[in-house]
Amino acid sequence: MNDNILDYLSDSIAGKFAGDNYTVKGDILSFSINNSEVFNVIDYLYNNEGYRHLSMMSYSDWPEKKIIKLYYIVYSYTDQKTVIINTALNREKPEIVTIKDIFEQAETYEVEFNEMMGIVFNGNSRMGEEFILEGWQGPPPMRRDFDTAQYADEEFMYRPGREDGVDVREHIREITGETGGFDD
Amino acid sequence: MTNDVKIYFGPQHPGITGNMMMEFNLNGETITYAKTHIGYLHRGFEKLMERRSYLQNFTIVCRICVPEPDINEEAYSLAVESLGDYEVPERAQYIRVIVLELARLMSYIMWSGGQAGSMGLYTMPQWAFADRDYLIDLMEMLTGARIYHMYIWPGGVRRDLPAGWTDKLLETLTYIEKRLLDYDRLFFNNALFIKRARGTGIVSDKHARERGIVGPILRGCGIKEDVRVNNPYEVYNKLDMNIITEEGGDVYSRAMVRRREMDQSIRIIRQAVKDMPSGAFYKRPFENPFKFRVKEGITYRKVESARGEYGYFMESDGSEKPRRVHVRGPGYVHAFTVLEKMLIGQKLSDVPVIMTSMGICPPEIER
Repeated sequence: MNDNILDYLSDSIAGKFAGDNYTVKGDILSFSINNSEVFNVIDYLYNNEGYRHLSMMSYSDWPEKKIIKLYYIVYSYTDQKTVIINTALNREKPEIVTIKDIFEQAETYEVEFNEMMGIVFNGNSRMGEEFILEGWQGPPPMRRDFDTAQYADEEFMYRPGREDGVDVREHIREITGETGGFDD
Repeated sequence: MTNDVKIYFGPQHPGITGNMMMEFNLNGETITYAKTHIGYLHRGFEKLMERRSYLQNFTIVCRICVPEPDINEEAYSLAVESLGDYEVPERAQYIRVIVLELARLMSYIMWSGGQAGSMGLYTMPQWAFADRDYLIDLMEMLTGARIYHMYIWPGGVRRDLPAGWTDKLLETLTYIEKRLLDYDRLFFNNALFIKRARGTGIVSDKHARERGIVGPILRGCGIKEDVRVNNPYEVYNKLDMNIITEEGGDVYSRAMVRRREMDQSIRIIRQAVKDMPSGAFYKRPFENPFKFRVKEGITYRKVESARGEYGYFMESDGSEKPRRVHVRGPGYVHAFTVLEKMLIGQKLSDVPVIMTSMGICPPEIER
């Protein structure tokens, strides 16, 4: 039975919710579903199939496709298999229902993703709470179009004693006249 | 109106396990509310990794966890190898197992110093840190570095075992084995430790299964879950080992799981040394390192660290740089959902004892 678990899940879960849009590799089944079905699928896996360990949640930003992909990685202690569920959110208004009522620990991931990627998890009362950042005013920093250097230049001062704000690499070039280097 | 007093515990406090802070409400000495605060250590590793090549990232990942850097190298390499379908020579897999078990041993020895220190038994930390240094010497001889080894990388390991290294390894293990008996006399069998640890920081097996708890904490609740056995990687499935569990779910049970796993790590290393084949230690997975790409796709690869399941989620868009690398450290879940609840009703003086026992490591929370 154990060897056929992923075949069974592919048919019963992935086949039902994701059509042919799933892959099996090693001990891992992954499939994509519509974001309106995420809660039901995870709830089903938790209550009916025994996938009671949330290994982690993750996301990736795809500005060129105007989406944010959101991943849920769950594991079953009895099957000893991993299922990765992914869904695409509208990058302009990324919203999805929370799964904290299924997995308590998901609440922390959701707070972090809200801060770092701007995803809103409906039903999680901690949205907007400061998690890692403090007094952050800029766009979510894990977005791929967030310009770290520009943000630092605009928001932070140079340390006293370095008022010239000289670019070290440029300074070396001026002194030595060298034009080579990694950038060139 | 209550008589509760609010205090902030850390981030500069010897009783807290790194750069984080706990906010407590106290009724006398009893904790009535606990909240974890982080944000003192964020280095943006995951953001950095999106802008660097797969090989450049390999020098970053070990820095995510100070007490146990090698498992980051391992999980990262497994993820890259999984996406690219790269093979690793068998000899390299044995070497990796030796390095990973040495890392576990170092981490557990350091933990035993911390656990004893959290109870005021200050001889143990001195011994532990001194003995760990012998293992660090071994790693230096093997990799050229003491803490951040940058040794396990996609395709195998960076260099073969140097001449005389296995002799020195076996000699050091014999020494450590004897020292562990001294640890038993000083710490693990110490009545003060047993009395303080039993019944403290209890996690029920139901909560352990459902709140994302992993590693020695899970096994301290009697649950047989170990990635090395249940989802084996490298050559763990060829080695004789079992899942060590204890009953009780308290600080004492977790300590005894770790103590017995130290013995098991020594046995695993000896087996690996004995069974290790000759041959290649590295199979180059790329022609040009600057144009090294892996196939488009996603993967999640996990290893059993000294603190439990340590995973890397990786997504590739087919370019030279990963689209996303996300690190799952065991401390992430332990520090929030679990700790905030389990500390309620505990005494303030038990906080360092419980935190050390839970293996909470802020560097892996703030990647």
